[in-house]
Amino acid sequence: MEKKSFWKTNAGALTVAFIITMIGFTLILLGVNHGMNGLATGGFAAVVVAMLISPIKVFIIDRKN
Amino acid sequence: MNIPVNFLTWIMAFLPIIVLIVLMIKFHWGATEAAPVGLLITIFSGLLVYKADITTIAVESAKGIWSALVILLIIWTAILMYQVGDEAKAFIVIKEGMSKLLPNELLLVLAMGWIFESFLQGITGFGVPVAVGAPLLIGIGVAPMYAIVIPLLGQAWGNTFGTLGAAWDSLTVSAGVQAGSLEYYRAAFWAAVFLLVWDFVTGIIICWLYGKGKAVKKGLPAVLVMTIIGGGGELVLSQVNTTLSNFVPAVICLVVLMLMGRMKMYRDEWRIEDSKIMVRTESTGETLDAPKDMTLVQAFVPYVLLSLMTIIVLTVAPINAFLSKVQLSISVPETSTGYGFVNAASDAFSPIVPFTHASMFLFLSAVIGLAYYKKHGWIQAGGTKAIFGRSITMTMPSGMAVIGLVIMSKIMSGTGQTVVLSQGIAGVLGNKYLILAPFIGLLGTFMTGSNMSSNILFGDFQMTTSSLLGVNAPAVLGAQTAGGAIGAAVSPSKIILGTTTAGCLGKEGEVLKIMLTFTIPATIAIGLFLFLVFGL
Repeated sequence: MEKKSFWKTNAGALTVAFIITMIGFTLILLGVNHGMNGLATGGFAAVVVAMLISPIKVFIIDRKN
Repeated sequence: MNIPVNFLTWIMAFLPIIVLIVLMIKFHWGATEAAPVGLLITIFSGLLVYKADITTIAVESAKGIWSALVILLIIWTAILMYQVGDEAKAFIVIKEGMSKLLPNELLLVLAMGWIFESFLQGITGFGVPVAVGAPLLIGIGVAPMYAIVIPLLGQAWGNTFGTLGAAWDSLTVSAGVQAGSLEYYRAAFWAAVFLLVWDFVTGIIICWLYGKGKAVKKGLPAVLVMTIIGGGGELVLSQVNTTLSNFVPAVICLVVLMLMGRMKMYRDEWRIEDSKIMVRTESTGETLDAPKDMTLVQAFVPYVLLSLMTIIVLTVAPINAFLSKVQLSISVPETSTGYGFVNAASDAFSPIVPFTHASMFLFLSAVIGLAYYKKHGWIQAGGTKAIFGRSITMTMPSGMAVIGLVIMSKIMSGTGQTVVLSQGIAGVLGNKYLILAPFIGLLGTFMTGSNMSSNILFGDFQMTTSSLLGVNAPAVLGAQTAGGAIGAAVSPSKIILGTTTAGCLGKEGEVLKIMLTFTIPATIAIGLFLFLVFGL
């Protein structure tokens, strides 16, 4: 059986989500501490998107396949 | 703060918690999938009902991620330590060795699932007992689901005065109770009384899970002795030194239980064959795999190192002071909502002290343990790479769930939802609020994952409300922190620690369902006691 790439597994998807969260976290801190609210908002949006990766993968993408 | 406490604001604050519980218990969603839904509701509620701006929500999210990292460091390093032991096949040796040392299987389960967790809670806390305890119980043959349930129960009673009294100190600071005052010791007394009862109940529940009435009868003497030393010792010491009131009895319990294994009533082989919590498999295959020259003490090397390092660093003041010099923190600005709910700015929000943090002890124990096992040839070539590979694969899924849950609690707290939630309960119920006072403590730990955070969140509220209602404030504070400690058994963040290290991530709802059946009645019972004694 062909071995599934790590990045295509649930753990892989969540690793991507974690990396995006940490980027978002950095952007929020940079934004709020340097008066760049747009940057903070962008960082927050990244965090929300990262949080939604798992439910979207489990309940939408994986169910379609 | 001008937030109106009405049905809409109250129900919107409660909705994320309800949705989280329903998705996990009723629909069997994993915490990784359920947490984002609760988070989205909290964000919308914060923006639309609680008049927070996006910057406030973003700052609270950043605080949440930072706080979650503290928990994640423990998960990651605990899993690394588990993988080291697994690769060296140390758990097989532990299973065989402990079974010989404690031939009574019930006593073995109590030792590995209750007393060892109490000891770990006394010195470390922050979920370490659950993360470390679950694989150890699996190692002695406990089914994975119960290998999570038992440590969750076992560590709970030690949450208030464990970790050298960190949660207790936060309660007194939050409630404005002066250390050493009469009120301080009265609150400590009530907290310790409630936790003593819970400690006993915990032991009985573990016996019941193992083999119902027959096991309770067999285990009762051991449970009584452990409760008198553990919970009773904590009660006595709480009136002298709250910092060591859990740690000292927990260490004595560990020694006494091993001695009890030599007593007539427990020294012979005894087990209940059809125990629902045990996995009965023929051990012949595993025994063949076990390293022949590894002794029980050698198998426990990482755990011995963990205990020694933690005790030395936390109790030797000069070492602690030196290692505490390095601190990592983030800077956050002041934020406020449209209702005037203000979150103060902080140049050093929630500092992590890396060299005295539990994750550092776990990491060093794992790495030294790895080197030790490798030196003895118990970890083969390529084993180190496999350990780190499996650790990463195991840890990432739990990370996002923990982050989601902690962000949710921070946004609730930072937009005033948490305050409205508790004020609504007190406002509607009047004196009957006493019945729910410990439940509020549990709710705080459920949301934040920590007895300490629950006390920070609700300590002042419980003090103010009990004063307004003219009821016994020390008893209410005792109930708050006891509820918070019991809540440590149902906190999704702690459950995830167990499901991750036990290798059954996604089963958090099933674990939560079991835990709620024990913990909710316990908090209500404490609340009823409070109401009957102080509220009538």
